[in-house]
Order: sequence, then C-alpha cells, then structure tokens
Amino acid sequence: MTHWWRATWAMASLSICEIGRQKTWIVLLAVIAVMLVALASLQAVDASAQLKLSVVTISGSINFISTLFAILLVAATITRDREQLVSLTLFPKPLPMSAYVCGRWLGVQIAIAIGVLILNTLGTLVVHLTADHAIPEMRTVHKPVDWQRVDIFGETSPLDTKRVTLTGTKKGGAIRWDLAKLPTNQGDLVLLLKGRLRAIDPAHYQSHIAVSARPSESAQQTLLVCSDESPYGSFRPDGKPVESGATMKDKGDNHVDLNQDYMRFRLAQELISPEGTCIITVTRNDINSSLSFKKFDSCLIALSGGGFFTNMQRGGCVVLAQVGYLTAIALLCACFSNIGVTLLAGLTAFFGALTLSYIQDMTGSGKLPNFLVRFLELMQFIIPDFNRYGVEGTLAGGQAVGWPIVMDAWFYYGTFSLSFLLIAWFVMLRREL
Amino acid sequence: MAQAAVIQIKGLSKTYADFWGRARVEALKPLDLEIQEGEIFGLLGPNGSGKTTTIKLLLGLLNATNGDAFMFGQDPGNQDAKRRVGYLPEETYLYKFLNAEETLSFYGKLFGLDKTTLDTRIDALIKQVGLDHARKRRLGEYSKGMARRLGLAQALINDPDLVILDEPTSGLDPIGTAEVKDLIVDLKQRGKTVLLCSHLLADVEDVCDRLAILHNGQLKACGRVDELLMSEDRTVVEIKAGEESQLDAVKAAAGEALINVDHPRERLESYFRRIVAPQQDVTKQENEA
Amino acid sequence: MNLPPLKLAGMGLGLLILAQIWASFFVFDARPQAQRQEQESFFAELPAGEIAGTLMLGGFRGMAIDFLWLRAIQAKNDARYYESVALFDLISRVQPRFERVWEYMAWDMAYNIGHYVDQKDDKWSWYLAGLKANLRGVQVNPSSERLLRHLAWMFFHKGETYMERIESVTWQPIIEAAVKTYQSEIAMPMGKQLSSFQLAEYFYRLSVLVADREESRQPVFVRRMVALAIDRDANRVRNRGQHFLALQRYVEALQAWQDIIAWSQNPSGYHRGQLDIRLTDESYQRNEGGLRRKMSNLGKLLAKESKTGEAFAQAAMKRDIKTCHALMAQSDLWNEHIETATIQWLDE
Repeated sequence: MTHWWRATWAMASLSICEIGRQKTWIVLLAVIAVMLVALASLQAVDASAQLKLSVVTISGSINFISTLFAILLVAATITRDREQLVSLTLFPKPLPMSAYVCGRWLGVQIAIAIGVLILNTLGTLVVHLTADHAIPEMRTVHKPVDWQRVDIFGETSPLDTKRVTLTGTKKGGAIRWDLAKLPTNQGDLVLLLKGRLRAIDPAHYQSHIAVSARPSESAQQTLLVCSDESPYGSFRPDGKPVESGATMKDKGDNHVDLNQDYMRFRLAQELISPEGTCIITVTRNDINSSLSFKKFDSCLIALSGGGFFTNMQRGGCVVLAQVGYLTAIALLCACFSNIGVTLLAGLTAFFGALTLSYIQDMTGSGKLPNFLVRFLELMQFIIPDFNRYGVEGTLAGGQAVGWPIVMDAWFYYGTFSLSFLLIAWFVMLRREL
Repeated sequence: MAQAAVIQIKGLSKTYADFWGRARVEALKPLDLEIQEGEIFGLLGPNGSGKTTTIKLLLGLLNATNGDAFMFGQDPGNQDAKRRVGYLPEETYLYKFLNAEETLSFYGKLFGLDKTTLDTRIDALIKQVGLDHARKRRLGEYSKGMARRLGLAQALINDPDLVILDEPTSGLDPIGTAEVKDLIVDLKQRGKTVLLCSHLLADVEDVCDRLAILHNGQLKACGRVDELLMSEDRTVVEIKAGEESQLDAVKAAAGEALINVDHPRERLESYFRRIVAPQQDVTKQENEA
Repeated sequence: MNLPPLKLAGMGLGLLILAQIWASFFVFDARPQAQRQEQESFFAELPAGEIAGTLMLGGFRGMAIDFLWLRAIQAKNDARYYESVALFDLISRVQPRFERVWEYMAWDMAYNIGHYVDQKDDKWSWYLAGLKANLRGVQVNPSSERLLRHLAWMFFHKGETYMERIESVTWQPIIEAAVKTYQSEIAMPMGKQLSSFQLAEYFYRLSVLVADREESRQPVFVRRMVALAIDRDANRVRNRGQHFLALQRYVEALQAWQDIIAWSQNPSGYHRGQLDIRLTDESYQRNEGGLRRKMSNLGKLLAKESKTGEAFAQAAMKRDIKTCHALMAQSDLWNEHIETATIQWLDE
C-alpha cells in the first residue's frame, strides 16, 4: 500500500510540475485581468447591489474558469503520454495502473486547487476594494427542529407538512417554531423571519404580524420588534413606525438573501434556555392577507459564519468537487481517444452539468421526440447538477458556505468522479501500447 | 551450476486485430525461447520481424493471443517482476519538461528507492552516461544522442537484474556505441542478464553470448554466437609480423589445402576508436571543466 | 510564333494589364449602378468596446450567449436581479442584434424588479432603467418594429402608474439618439410634460412605420393601439379639467380609427389572410363606438349653444371629422371646460 501511495504521489507531482512548466499560469493572469475589467464595466443600482454583483461575478468567474481549466489540463497531459509514447517508458516500471490514474487525477486537482486559492485571495481583495472596505458579513443559519400550528384559541396542533398557510377572517392564528441546540454563550442572537403573502387588494401587500419568543413552554412570551438592521418590517405602509410586531412583506421561496429578504429581530440571551431551546411564535394580525411559511426556511437563527475569505475558500472546495468530476470524465476520454475528442467530451459534460435543470425541463415538456427524451434521460445518469449548491448566490446573499455543504458536495460529485475513475482504470488495464 | 531461466517463453504468439476483432497481422508466430541468468542474449531480425512485439509481450504492454511468457517466474505485468527489470525502448520517450536529474528521480521513486540511494545513483549514472555537463538542462533541449544516453540511465536506475535494451546504440556516434557495448559487457560481469534487441549485426556479434534470429514473426535460428558463426570447413592461423620464415613452413605444410595468406584486417570500429579516442578524451575533459 | 515560353507569358500578362486599364475607364462609372446598395454598417451604432466583444468571440459567440442567457434566467429565478440585469446587459453587448434580449431585459427591469423593490423611488428607477434599455435596443436595431412596439407598450400599460414622474422628465434628449433615423418621417414629440400616452402613441406610430417599411408581419392590433393611446390621453386631460383639449384629442383618435378602417379595407400584401384584419369585432365596436359617444356627449356639454353641440354630436356619430374640425376651429363657440355638473363618462 505504501508503494501505491508513493507511486500515486510521484504521478501527482509530475502532473503538477508539468502543468506549472506549461506556463498555464499565464492563463490565470489573463483571467484576473478579465475579471477586473468585467467588474469595472458591470453596474448596479446601488452600493449594496454592486457589492453583491462583485461577489457573484468574481466567484462565478473563478468557478467557471477553474472547471474549464480542468478539462484542458487533463486533455493536454494524459493524451500526451499516449501520443508522445512516453507511456512506453513509464508503464514497464512498477507503476500500478490505478496509481497512474489516481495520480494524474490528484495532480490536476492540486494544480486547480492552487489556482483557486490564489484567485479567491485576489477576488477577496477586489471585493474589499470594490465595496469600499465593507466586506459582506457571512452568516450560517440554524434551523428549527419542529413546528406547530396555533389556532385563534391558543390550541396547538402538530404539523407534518413543510409549508403552512395562515388565512381566515379572524386574527390570531399563529405558527410556532421550536429551536434547539442554540449556543448559550454567544450573547444575543439574530432571528431571521420571512414568508409569502397573498392579498387581493394591492394595498394589503404588507401584513402586520406579532413575533414573540420564550425559552420554554412554561415561560412567558416576550414580544420582539425588528432590529435597526432589519431591511424591512419596522414601518407601516403609510411610512409610520410600527409600535409592536412587524410588517411582513411577500418574500417568495427564491428570495434567499439573508441580508435583504429576511426581517431581523434581536433574540436576547434571556429568551434562550440553558439547554439551548427557544420557542418562536408568529401571529397573524391582519385579516386582509394570508401568510404562508415554510418549516425550515421561514424562521432561522443567524450565527456568525466566519470571514468572507474563509467562505470563499470553502466555496472553492465545492468547486473542486465539481472539478474532480470533470477531471475524471476527461481522464476517461483521454485514456482511449485523442485531445480533440477529450476536449469535446469534457466540454459537453461541463455544459450539460451547468444546464441540467433545463435539460430536465425539456424532457418533461413533451415537445421533444421520444428517442431524444430517452437519450437525455440516460445522460442525466452521468451528468451531475452544477447548480445544486449555488455557491455564488449563497456568498452574495451573505450566507456562509459551511463544511456540511462542502462534504455533501464531495459526496455527490465524488460518486460520479469515482465511477469514472474506475472505468478509466479498467480501460487502461485493457489498453495495449 | 545450472543457470536459472530469467525469461521463459512458451508458444507465445501475437496477432493484431482490427476494431471489429478480425485478425489482421500475425506479428509473432508461436515462439519458444529461454534466456538464462547472467547471459547477454541478442534478438535479431529485420524490421517487422517481431522483436519489439516480443519485448512488449514480456513487459505486459501487449496482451498475448496465445502462449505464455514469464519473467523471473512471474506473469507479464507483475509488479514484483517489473521491479527487477530495466527497459530502454526503441526510441527515447521521456518527459521533455524535466531535466536529467528530475527524470531519473521520478523513475527512481516509482521503484521505491529511498532518497539517499536515489541521489547517489542519479549522480553516478549521469556521470557514467556522460551527461554531467547537461544535468540541469531540460530534455526538450537534448540532442538525440544525449536523450538516448539518458534513456539508458533510466533503464539502470533501479540496478535491475534484467536489462532489456531495444536498439540501444540508435542515434549514438561510434564512440558512444562502443561505450554502450562496454557497459553491456560490464553488466554481464556484474551478473546481470541483458536482452539486446538490434538489427545492427556488428553490435550484437561483439557482445552477445547467445542470439536468436526472427523473421516474419518466426524463430529462424537460436544458439551461441560462436557456434552459429563458426565455419567448420576452414581454419585460420595467425602468425606475428616478422616471422616470415615460419610462414613459408606453414605454406609448405598446407600444400593444396592453402586458401589464402594475407595480413588480417582490423575492424573499422576498433580502428576508429584508436584514431578518435585521444581527441574524444580531450573534449570530455574540456566539457567537464 | 516560336517565342520562348517565359517571354510569351510575359507578353500575355502585359496585355492583360493593358486591357484592365482600358476597361477601367468604362467600368468605373457603371460600378455604382451595378453594385448592390451598401447597407449601413450596424457596427457604426456600437462603441469600440462592444465591437471588440462581438468580433472577438467569433464562432463561440452563440455558445457564450446561450450560457449567459441560462445563467441570467437562473439568477432571475433566484431573485438575484442585480446579477440577471448585469448578465442581460452583457448579452446585449455581445449580441446586440438579439432583439429578444433587449425586450426581455427592459420588461424584467420595469415589471419584475420594479415590483419587488419596496420604495416608490426605486420602482421608478427600475421602470426608467427598463425604458432606457429598450431605447438602447431600438438604437442598435433601427429596423426592429418589435422593440418599438414593446417600448410603446411599456409607456401605454405601465406609464400611468408613474404619470407625474413621466411628465416631469424632458424626454427629447433621452429618446433622440434612438429615433434619429425616423425623424424625417415622424418627428418626435416636442414640448414639456409629455404624457405616457403621447409617448406610447408616438412609438406605436413608429412601430407601424418600420413594419411597413421592412414588410415585417406585425399583429394588426398594433395599429389600433395608436387610436387607443390617443383616446387614453384624451381621457387623461379630460380628467384634469382640460375638457376642450380632450375634445380635440378625441377627434384625433377618431381620425386614427378612420385610418385603420381605410387600411383594413386594403391591407398591404404581407398582412392579407390575417384573421383580425377586418375591424368588425367587439373590441372595435366597444372602443370606436364608445369614442364617438364620448365625443358627442362632451361636445354637447362644452358647446355654448345647443345647436353647435347637436351639430358636433351628429358629425361625431357619423364620423364626419371635417365638420368636427370646422366647428372646433370657431373657438368662440366653445367653453374651455365645464365648471359644474357631474358627468357620467362612458368609460368609467
């Protein structure tokens, strides 16, 4: 086993050296230049939007370039071994074929990781300068463990759905969320709240709600008011400040910006029990509109999510998982075809993964011929979804990229990568030189 | 003492097929061969006779159609067997972006050599093949001869028990060729087994103990060099210069059986070495300086 | 003749050159007639940076556009409007001839994003940004009746929400770059306090003009929108108490309806066969008929003497625009506005 690791590492080092000496880092410089030019030309309506646009553009560009790069690097290195017949000198050595495949894959991954690290560092610097030194605050979210409906008489009933609507001609219906495992040593916390709102009269597109919190069932409820940093909720439609509760607006499922789409309330330390539990209740006080909430998205506790730079790097780890998939599929193609076919296959996989949701829409639309539908359905088995984690949007929305996301991404994309690496290994074993 | 067979080939054949699996070219007909430990074995034949195919089958780079091949009693492609083998392909295929030291270091790591051993061996091999002046230069800037020397060095990085050399003198000048032949002899003296593949007959004749001749994928002849090349229908007698009186006696004794009396002819290669060697040494010393 | 081949070739080449020189004296004058009329380069409308963007990508432009478009739609679905707008803007720079992207971008800003922002000033900003994007599209696609039609629709449909702000803007500097190619045929509206309906009327007229010039199939209802825009504008001034001005605008609207009827009886070749070509449907009855009734009622109320009012009403019901104009030209017969009384308007 030691020999296998040694051989793998030797191949990985060779790949890194090869990539470095190919002067591909010049392309990195070009990317940086393009990024800076692009940022200067993109405009948004205000400073906040400009900051978000910078974050999305930088992280999006880095992700796009690094994934594309992986295909080019694999195509250039692996096919060269075959076309320049270096493999005739290489494979008579005691080099297990699995070590060769894994070593090449690992080498490209490390090279891309170095590039992503550098670009993310520079990107953070550019965001810092663009935002006039106001780097966006990153938060992780703590989700509730359970929820219940509270009727106008105060009776609670369990909910087994993920969405519930408060409606009716009487005030007083409420939703209650149970939070657990909250940190008890971080002082006051931030409660984030949003929901969907429906009204017939446009004048009622804002709805008054009461928000209360208590540490346990037996404790008394404390009414909460919006904090000063809340993007909305503190003022009534006529512009006057709300005396108690908050004014809720319609924020749909796709509104996930923590800084912009959620009302903020200060959750005092006293409202959290020593065991880390808290009960949040939102009561509907406006009969002119119906309110709709989701179990895990409408009520959140925002915790500090680390610095922007750290989250950019964690986002980079998610991108590396995607890169691993592309590297594996390009490596497989390189094992039995030339550079042109490898590039084509890699690019097809890349763009297929970027547009997978649209492919799925098309197959379900009924507008395509049957054979094409079947073909596209089969393709979905070998192409993962690159929009599954939406790292750029997450970062722009002020939400931290946590390690669970990184691990989930590696598990998801890693399954595809491993499958293709196994097939590549098998192909190499059977291949004659 | 009976020598162990380093290489055993039994009924080995290879037919290349096309994409549809139809047999196209019978590159190697069933071949039986054994190479003993410690001998220099020459594999001769014209272009396309199956020499390189045989070697690739031994190393597991090709899959045999029929038959078996064993190196050190192991199947082709066995990692333990490969650890004891050094191979120099027909052309030098090395990574052009590495220099000599890095190339040898990379291949040495594949053999699992520790750093100290590797560094010592790299140093010795680079000097041995005469590339000390170019050790830091990238292979892309090497001449063909220099690359060939380095190729030889990488074949010896693991101090192999079996060295397979496919056209080792290709691209080398006569001095270089002679050095390679000296190296091969030196390997034998150290107890290594050498499989030498070439169609330069003079090179093979000078160094090999046994040889096999392939033609159209078939084994045509196999045996000791002396036995194969000896002419049993005549005898050569050599007399030192200045002893012409003895020569008359020999002529008289031979009578009608005498065919020819002439001064022996030196080999061109040895003549060349005699003439060039003093200048070559001077050039080497200048490069090293 | 027995000349060496090289000499022969040299002579032949010399003769050819002489023939070219001789022919050029005759061909040069005929060339302008023989050649196709050069089309004005559309690159002339683009700044240098955008030219580079369109040319540099070469054959990959289509792929880049597809990718950017999908990403922009994804961003819009995720409510990242700042990103979707920037991406649409980028697409419009790379593929400025892609009409739909200008249209989509303008609509997205004015309708979707404008809806989701909270402050009224922000809503107006997004609406204005949508209009400007549409104008830019018109500028680089002067032959696009679709973009002109869309611009007119944005003024007609959404403009009433921002009427006061629209009237406070001086529109000529904003729209002149986009409409300069049409100035010789339809002059842009001058003056201050232009209403959204006046601008809608103008752009609908332009849209019809371009459609006729380019012979592109345009939905027939677009021609009716000219009359409807004038009608709505007349309602606007009427509701502000400028009753006589409203009556004049109603007469203009009736004239526009007459033009449509005349056209529908002899439509241009590429419009033949379209289903709604004949204006006998309920929409026509409701709008044109209602207009005439409004005119006759208002005429009776505004006339100083009842016989003037009756004459005007009769002329209006009979679609006698000449008589209406003749009566209105005598300003002493009319009041500027009605001081008292509750008026039941047919469209309320």
